[in-house]
Amino acid sequence: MNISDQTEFDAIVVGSGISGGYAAMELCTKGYKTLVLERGRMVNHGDYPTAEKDIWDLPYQNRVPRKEIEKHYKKQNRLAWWVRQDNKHWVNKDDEYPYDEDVRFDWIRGHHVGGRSLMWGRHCYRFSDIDFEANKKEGVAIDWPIRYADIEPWYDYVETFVGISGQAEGLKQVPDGKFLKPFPLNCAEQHLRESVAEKFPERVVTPGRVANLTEYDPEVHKGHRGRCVARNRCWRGCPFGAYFSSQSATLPVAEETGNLTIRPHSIVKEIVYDADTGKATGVRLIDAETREELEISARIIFCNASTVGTTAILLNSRSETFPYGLGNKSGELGHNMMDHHYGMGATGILYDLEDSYYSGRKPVGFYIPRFTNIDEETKRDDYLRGFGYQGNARRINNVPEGVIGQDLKDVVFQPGAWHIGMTCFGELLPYHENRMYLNFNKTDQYGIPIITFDAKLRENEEKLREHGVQCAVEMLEAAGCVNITSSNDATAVGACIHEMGTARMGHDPDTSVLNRWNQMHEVPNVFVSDGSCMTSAGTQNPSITYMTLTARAVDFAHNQVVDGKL
Amino acid sequence: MNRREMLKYTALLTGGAVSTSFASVFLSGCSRPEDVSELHFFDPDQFELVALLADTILPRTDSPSATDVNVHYTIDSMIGLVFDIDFKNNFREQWAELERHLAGHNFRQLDQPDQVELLRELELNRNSETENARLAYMELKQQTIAYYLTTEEIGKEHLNYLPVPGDYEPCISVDDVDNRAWAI
Repeated sequence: MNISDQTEFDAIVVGSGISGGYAAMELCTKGYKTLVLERGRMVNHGDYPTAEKDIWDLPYQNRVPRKEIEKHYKKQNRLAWWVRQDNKHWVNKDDEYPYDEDVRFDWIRGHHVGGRSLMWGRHCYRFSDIDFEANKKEGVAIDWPIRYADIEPWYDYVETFVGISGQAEGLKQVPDGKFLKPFPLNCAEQHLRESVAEKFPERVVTPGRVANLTEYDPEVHKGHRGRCVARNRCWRGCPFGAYFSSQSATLPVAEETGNLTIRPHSIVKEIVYDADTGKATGVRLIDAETREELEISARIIFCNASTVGTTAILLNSRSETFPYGLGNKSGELGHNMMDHHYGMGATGILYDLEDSYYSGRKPVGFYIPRFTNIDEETKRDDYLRGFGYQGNARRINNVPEGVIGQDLKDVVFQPGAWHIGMTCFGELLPYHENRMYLNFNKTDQYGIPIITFDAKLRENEEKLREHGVQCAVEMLEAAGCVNITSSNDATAVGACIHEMGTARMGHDPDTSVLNRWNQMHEVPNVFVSDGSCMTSAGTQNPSITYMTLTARAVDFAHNQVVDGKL
Repeated sequence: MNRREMLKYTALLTGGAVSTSFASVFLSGCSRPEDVSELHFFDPDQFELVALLADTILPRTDSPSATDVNVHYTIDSMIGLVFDIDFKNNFREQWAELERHLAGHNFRQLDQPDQVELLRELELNRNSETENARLAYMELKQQTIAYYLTTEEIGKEHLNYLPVPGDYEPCISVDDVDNRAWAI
């Protein structure tokens, strides 16, 4: 990828993560000379330093020592499973990336080319009209300006390229997509599926739908892709290119067009607005290495800096026309912060199927799509919306109670009992009061105002959580598990790494920032198609929807250019 | 696993065809193994007891003992350097109780079968007086087994080590893998 001093492009994409990479690919493919700006360092496909390490090659059992955590990762390490030896090269150091919180907010991120597309969970579920219609039906926040039919063909388009393994189930709450063959349920997971189906027909235990190639077609899966070899080390970066990331897929395809320029270490400070034309002229950025400030212009700007990053840039883009942030006459910019909330679920032991085992380490377990409030029969009086589960079954170490010495040596190399666990992910409603804002009285080392968070779970979420935990226990009981333990420790907003909603789409410029094409109502050549565009959160892992909206938005922008409107 | 081994396994999987572009992505340094030359939590006398406990739990048979693969050093560094302060402080108190309990029964002087029996009793006969000692012991037992099974020697020589599985098979019989657990 070129790094140049050029200061004029057809298009600028701010951010190189899952949606930024997609925007770049689509723009480059359509012939736009495109500059991708990334605030972090360069990462090329293959720069995955821990990819081949086994547990014994990683110091401290893959854990990070306390002193290092204290020094660099106190906030990032609030997620007990997050900062590890094998992935910390992707994790931002708190001391280099400060933020403030009125209420605890776990902003989990990694700034480098590829962003979180390198370490994402890879689950991909389509939104449905149950999601797109919910706000309007319930009188919550504002109506989505799109419906499933608007984006269904774009889901098809994106999923085909991304490569999603999954099983068609015909469920209205998570419509089937263009699936490659699934990673099948193992024996215990299949047992769970059948036991749950018998007792709770509306609850479906299905193989997780993930962006890992179970089948590889070089004509379709372009870039540096390859078939998944079941190592389950995705978050370290995959040398096989078996899961979808900006590095493995979108950026190499963009690069091949000859239209891509990528500029790492480029911290976008603001988008520059021209009141005369009513459009943005480009962006102002700080080179993180030289501290030099420079302006780069383009005809079209795609803001894909992640929900929080994008929103901060827009809030900091102040002008006479937009004193409270670019395109923010509605006053909604920074508000309606959503995420999914978890820290709830259940685990149990299954003393059965002792003769069954599995071979290989699939990078996913099972998924249980939302099953409450999806129709009249499943309507709840105590909360709105719903929750889904991710989980898996595996055989744990064989350590019988009270057995040690020679007796333990006789059995310790054998597979132990089946352990089934599931984590519940709940929808968080779009509350205007849940927000992020900039503290203009305090700046970071680049002179950029400090991002401050003020968002929390409320009563609807608490009610939903109780039911989510109860249903998890019921399902494990149905499967015949014993030693069932459940947990309900509410996570802070941000902890699910699905933060979204702070520059939402809507019908009306008075109540929303973006129109139905992810275009700013008030600044027509600026598009936002990362998580900040979301009008509600659903229960689905959102990345595939961001990519879908991005591809659709680029197509729209292109048509506008062709029609002479942009 | 080093780069050479990785390529070897991948070559086996793909029938020998490994593209140069694939080979070129394995260009990374090695992480240094943790320093086991000094103690981070236990004093030398306590550490001797930890080693004895670890080898009572997993003695040397036709496979290595816990200390043969340095499990005791891992326990010391994990508690001393890795786990959070609350855990460390809590464990320190429980450990003191365990030390007292074992000293009260002359654990170090017992024959191995009696050592095994004493620990079995501590685990299985729960009562409030020995509860803290039991918790410390259970913690050590759990760590001993977990670290033992994640050493290179045990993983490669005594468990099923399959670094690049290639395919995922959801249901096989344990007999297909000689009733041995997967190493990773």
